[in-house]
Amino acid sequence: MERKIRVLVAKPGLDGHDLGARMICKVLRDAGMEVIYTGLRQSVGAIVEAAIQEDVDVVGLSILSGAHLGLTRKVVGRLKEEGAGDIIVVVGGLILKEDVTKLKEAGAQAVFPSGTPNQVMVDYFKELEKARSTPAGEETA
Amino acid sequence: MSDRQQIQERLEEWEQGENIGDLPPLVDLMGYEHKVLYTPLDLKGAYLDDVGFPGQYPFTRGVYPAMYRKALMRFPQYSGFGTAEDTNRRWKYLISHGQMTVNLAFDLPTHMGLDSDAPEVEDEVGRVGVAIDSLRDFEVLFDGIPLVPAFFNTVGPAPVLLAMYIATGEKKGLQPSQVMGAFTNDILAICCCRGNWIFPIKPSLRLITDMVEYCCRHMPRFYPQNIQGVYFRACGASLPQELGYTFADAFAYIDDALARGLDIDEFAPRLSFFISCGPEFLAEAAKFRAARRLWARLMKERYNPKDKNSLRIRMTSATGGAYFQAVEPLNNLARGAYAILGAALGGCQAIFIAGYDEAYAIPTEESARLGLRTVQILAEETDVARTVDPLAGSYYIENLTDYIEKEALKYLHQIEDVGGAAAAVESGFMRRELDKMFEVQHGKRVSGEIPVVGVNKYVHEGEEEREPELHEANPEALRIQLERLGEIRSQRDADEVQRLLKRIRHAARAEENLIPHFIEAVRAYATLGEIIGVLKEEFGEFKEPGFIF
Repeated sequence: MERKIRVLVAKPGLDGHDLGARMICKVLRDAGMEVIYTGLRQSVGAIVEAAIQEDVDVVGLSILSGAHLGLTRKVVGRLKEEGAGDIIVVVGGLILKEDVTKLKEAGAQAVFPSGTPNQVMVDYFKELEKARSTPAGEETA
Repeated sequence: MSDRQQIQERLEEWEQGENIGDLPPLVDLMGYEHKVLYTPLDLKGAYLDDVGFPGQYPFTRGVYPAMYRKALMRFPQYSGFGTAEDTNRRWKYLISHGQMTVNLAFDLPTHMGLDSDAPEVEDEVGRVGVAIDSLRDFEVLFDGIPLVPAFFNTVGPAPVLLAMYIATGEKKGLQPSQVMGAFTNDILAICCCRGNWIFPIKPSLRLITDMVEYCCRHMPRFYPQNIQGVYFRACGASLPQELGYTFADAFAYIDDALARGLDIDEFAPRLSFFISCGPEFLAEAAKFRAARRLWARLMKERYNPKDKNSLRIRMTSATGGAYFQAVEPLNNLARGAYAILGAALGGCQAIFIAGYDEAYAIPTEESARLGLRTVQILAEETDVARTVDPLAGSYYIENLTDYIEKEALKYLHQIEDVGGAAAAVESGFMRRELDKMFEVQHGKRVSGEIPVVGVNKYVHEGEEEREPELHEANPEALRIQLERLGEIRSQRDADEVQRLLKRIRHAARAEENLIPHFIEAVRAYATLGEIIGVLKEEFGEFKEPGFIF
């Protein structure tokens, strides 16, 4: 049975650009995920708390202010501290090529710089969904 | 047979003979159907009533009589980053290349009224603009630069930054009455779609009117209220929607100022507007003409000002953010150049362009200079400035102007029907309307219906392009700001600062004009964060409308 992927789309830090985040909420929802949007200007603590409370599988950070490295490290770190290190963190926004590797080193499992086609992001989440689902015919006791 | 009848006959012959009807219709995002051909039959209005003379009601042809023949448009490139020293250096560079004004970009903590040592802001200090914590930063910012007209693009901390600017002027021997510049102050547009609000709308309006009142009394050369359409466009607004919503905001501010007891002619001449320009430069030129005529008509009808200056809509225009692409970034140089044609043919007072590398980072020296040069070349080398309103009389342009004016009025009424701009923003209505438009536009870009060269049309599959040489954030910015904060805290009279902060709290409650209190506080080196902190305690913070998707 496929469990829907739950995604928290989050705007950490002070960045006020939310067009991309709002769009991705709709795109992922239309692709069958359950999506929660934090709204603008969330502290690291608030994002992690929401992620745990909402029992999400993925936290998607949307950052266009250039502050992505520091913020990603903090979110990943705090999730681990709170015992929620299994929650996947992905990052989208204004991210330079040279930062993609650094973000992955910081704990981001996927990076979607601005301009990444929606389908690429949808495919990533659908892969996650497949990996999480219980194969047909295999019942848990 | 009259001329018109003859033309009508010949037109029909031409349309049938050339099978014009076989061509697919062309309707744009604002719902305007572009005919294959426009003729004198499409000129509807009366010249004197609807087009008229520049510098005279209804100002369709221009806010001033001789427009660019008297004075070219200004070209204030938006710039700021890192520390005040970094920005001071960039401004000197731009000024040495012929930019005669400064257009300040602030960092996010400053927009939010937070000092550089506030919790959790360390990643953002100096990133998207200059970090300002106290008057000391302003002193460094303007060191060696005369107080040229300065444009401040922020809302939340605006009254405190104005105070710092006045205090900086004092240090340079200037009276407030000699200080030139303009402030954004458009809290409604910010709360709708720019995301960097601080206070709820009502106290924000109070602060704005404090600034307007203060400037009306003491600063005749300062424009305290610049109303912004650019964010609506970035969020999906069509051309007339941008105008309609901007005017809705403007009337909210005017009504607030009138309720305060100001006279319409005291401050309406001090309003200015910041409106986008984009690739449809012919429609944009028509839009600016429509804006002038509609504003003049509405102001006359609603407020009946005595001063002609209250009917003029001064406009700055810019392109960039929402339009520039990450793929093949040098293409954006062409995009910028074409877009500003609309602003110049439309008679805007100031024009600037985002860096061609806008999709990657804030501008380098080179991309800032290229933006500046693009406008200068337009102004000085082309013939846009040779005569006033060169497109007037064009069958197409006059038709577009009429259409945009009518549609913009509909959008204004749409907002007024839901209780006005403040109500429309608080409830999320305005943003939801923009979301709908953005979805349509975005869908059309994805499908290719709106072509974007290199992105969805003439796409080159092959090796990835190198990113351009980009601006690098100053890694020392945070340390320098923290040191500077430490310095002023140790040097200033701490008791005096506390006393002045208490005065601010009291004045906030007593509904006194806060600007003189801010001026005193910044002179004593109270920080931005300290002052805004008091106001946050008194006023609370804006609550973002929920996003329903």
